[in-house]
Amino acid sequence: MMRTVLLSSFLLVMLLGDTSQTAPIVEAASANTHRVTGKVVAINTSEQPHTIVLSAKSVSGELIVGATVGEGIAIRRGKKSIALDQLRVGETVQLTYEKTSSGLVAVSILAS
Amino acid sequence: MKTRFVGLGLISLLLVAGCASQSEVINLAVPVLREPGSAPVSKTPGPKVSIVRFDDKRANKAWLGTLTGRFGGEERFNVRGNDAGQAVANALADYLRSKGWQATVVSDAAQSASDVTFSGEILEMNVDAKKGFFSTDLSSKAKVMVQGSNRSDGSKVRMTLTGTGSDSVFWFSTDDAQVLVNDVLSESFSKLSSSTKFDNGALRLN
Repeated sequence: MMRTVLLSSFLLVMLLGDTSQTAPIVEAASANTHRVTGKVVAINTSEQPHTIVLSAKSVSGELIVGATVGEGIAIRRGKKSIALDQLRVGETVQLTYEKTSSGLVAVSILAS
Repeated sequence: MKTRFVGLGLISLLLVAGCASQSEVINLAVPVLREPGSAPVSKTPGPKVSIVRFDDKRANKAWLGTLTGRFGGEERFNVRGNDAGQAVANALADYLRSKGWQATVVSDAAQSASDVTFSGEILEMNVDAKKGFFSTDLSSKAKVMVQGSNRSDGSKVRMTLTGTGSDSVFWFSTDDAQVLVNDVLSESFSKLSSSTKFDNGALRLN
């Protein structure tokens, strides 16, 4: 009996774990501005323009957004302003970006 | 003495025949060639996508696999035209068209005006057949990384698609290997259509 309950609990945890993994999305913040939440997979501050690449994974695949990061854009951890190189690979951030003719350009980055 | 020479001659002939068969290549059509107008047509036009030639990242790009004879001789399978990257792009377009998508193979992603442009890498693709006395066993595997680039927001959706298959036939023909490779690719691609959706003209993961 106890073994059955333990097994049921284990299955319930597994199911809850599955349902909590939702598909990553890119939201349209305005007509040309988009917002995505994902983990930082790469930051390059050694070359101009600086760049950031985010990845949001789900069971079926991966959503990837890479954007250039210009000087003076808002990068915050909570309420504190930070530099791009203070973000860590693997950290979850929310990136707001614009799609321009020259590519994707970060507007703001918010680390949780 | 004469018998010994005849025996030696026969063995030499078999050896030469065995060696000669190693250089033979069996070309497989990927995707399977269809009669004009036989492809399924959807009533409602689906998403408009472009597909560029896949990068062939297989360790062995020279051939797809081998057909091993009963006595050890080998023939090699290959994709017709020996361009696996183009063949997989064509096969993906063929599969997506069968699902109602408006899929076109393009030579340059920059020229694509579609909602989504697919590119990708062939990580594995093979088919092998081994002839036995009463049957020929076939096996095939495909592993393909597909990346869809959304024109609307610049995001990319990346998936690794895999498929495996096996078959056993009494009388082996080239078509058996050809059908198996195409079935395995279709099985791989089915995950792409089942795990994604279109939202405001952009490809999204389910």
